[in-house]
Amino acid sequence: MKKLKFQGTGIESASELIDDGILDDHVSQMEVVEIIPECFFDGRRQSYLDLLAKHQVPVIGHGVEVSVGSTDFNQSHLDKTKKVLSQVNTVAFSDHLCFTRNGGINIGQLTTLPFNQEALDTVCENIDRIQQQLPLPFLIENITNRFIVPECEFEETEFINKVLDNTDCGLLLDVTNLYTNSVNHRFDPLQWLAEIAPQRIQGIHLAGGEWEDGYLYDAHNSKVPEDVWQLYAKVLEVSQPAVTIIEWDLDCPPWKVLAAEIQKAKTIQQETKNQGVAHVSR
Amino acid sequence: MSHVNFLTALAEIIRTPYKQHDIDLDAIIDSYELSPKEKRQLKVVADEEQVEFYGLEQARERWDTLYHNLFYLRIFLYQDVLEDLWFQRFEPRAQQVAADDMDKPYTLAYLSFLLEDDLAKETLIEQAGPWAIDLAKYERAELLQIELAHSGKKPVFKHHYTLLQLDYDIPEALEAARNEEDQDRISQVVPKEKELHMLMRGGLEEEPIETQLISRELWHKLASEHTKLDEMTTQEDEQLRELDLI
Repeated sequence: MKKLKFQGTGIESASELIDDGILDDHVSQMEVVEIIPECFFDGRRQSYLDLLAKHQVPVIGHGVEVSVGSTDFNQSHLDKTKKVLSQVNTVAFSDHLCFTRNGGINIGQLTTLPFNQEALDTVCENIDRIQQQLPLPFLIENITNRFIVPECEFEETEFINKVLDNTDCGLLLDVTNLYTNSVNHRFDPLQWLAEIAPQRIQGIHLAGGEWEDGYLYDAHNSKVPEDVWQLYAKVLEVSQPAVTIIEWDLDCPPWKVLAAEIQKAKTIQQETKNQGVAHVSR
Repeated sequence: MSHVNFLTALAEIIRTPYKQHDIDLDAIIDSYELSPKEKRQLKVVADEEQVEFYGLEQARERWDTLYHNLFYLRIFLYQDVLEDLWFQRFEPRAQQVAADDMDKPYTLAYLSFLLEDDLAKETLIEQAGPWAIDLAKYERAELLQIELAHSGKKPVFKHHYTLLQLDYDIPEALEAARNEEDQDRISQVVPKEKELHMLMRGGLEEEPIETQLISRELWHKLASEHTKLDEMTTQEDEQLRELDLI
């Protein structure tokens, strides 16, 4: 496994944050930032890439449309992704354990795969392709599941572990997604966490969500809720993630709010470290 | 093969919420070669309330982005007219078109649909006037020009351009409408019908898009698949230079 070196805590460069110029004055001081390559495919945000390159900020590429679960892998999409990542100081690449399209039909959103052997084979084959072409640590992220395909061979955690084992990639644990799934599908997130190989957790995502009609959505439009911070602390008790990223895509606040979220994550990291249960590797 | 079909069928069920479109779920499932277990799995998933919400939520996002991109049509046509055409007729046939996350294929496909579908054309004419077809054509050409300008693809000449042929002078009408307090009055300022051959260029890095009238002959030469500069007349050559195309 290409292990991601310690990068610290940073923010996802959401389109809204870039377009509103919220990050421009702060990029140079950031430990790490995440970019979504797809947001740069049309060349319209080139100046932000130039800014990242100028300051040599460590960048985590975070794809949203590579679609590792698709049976018809889109090489041209990966080529475009590589082109964007080559322009900045990219230290790792990640995408989601899901599919967004298949057989020409485009869902356009991260969609849960059936947790079966065929899906596992496809995912592993596609991740191998990515890792062969991008000589960087590759991390796969758990998504929010709006549904679970019944009668499958594996539980989600088994499926994830098999993907990690077979491809030797890292896990980008989205704590908010885990929390959201545990609420909507009524399971214990700590049990879920206990079933995941902790040494594979290389990155963390944290975001806020919103309730609608009794259902919790990972809306990425608010502060990280207290329950998720608590779960984050639990994750740090068992793992040593190299990077923590705050995601805020919609209704973005001023920088000071984002900075406070970064600081809160750092405080929890320090507290956990002081308790002697976690050691963030450097 | 079966897994490929399963994923594609699942994508189809989510992409086009079948209940909303009065599509028979069994018909979708039976159109794929699937094992009895896979058919059973899909039926259970399709029946989940959250799956329908999920599909509708994605459709809503597509509409919101699309509507935002319809810079001119959304000013001059009622939203429900455009939305009904989108949901009832365009959406079920647009499963293969990617949403507009990266560029604007979905908006461009919708505009093409408005220009090709008989009922859509009829509706636009009925609700606004025959000039509405040209407005859609102009909107599409402008969007295409912006996409082209940002695509980084090697241009045929020095700069990218988009050609369009209109019966109404939409650029002039839009300019006139801009100067009116009430923009809905485009229908009153659209000039008399005539055949116009136009060339559009610009759109890169906030550069304004300009539309120039060109001769029918030059339009046809530029529209041909293999344009050769040595086939241009001196006058056409001069015009291309004036337009900074060569």
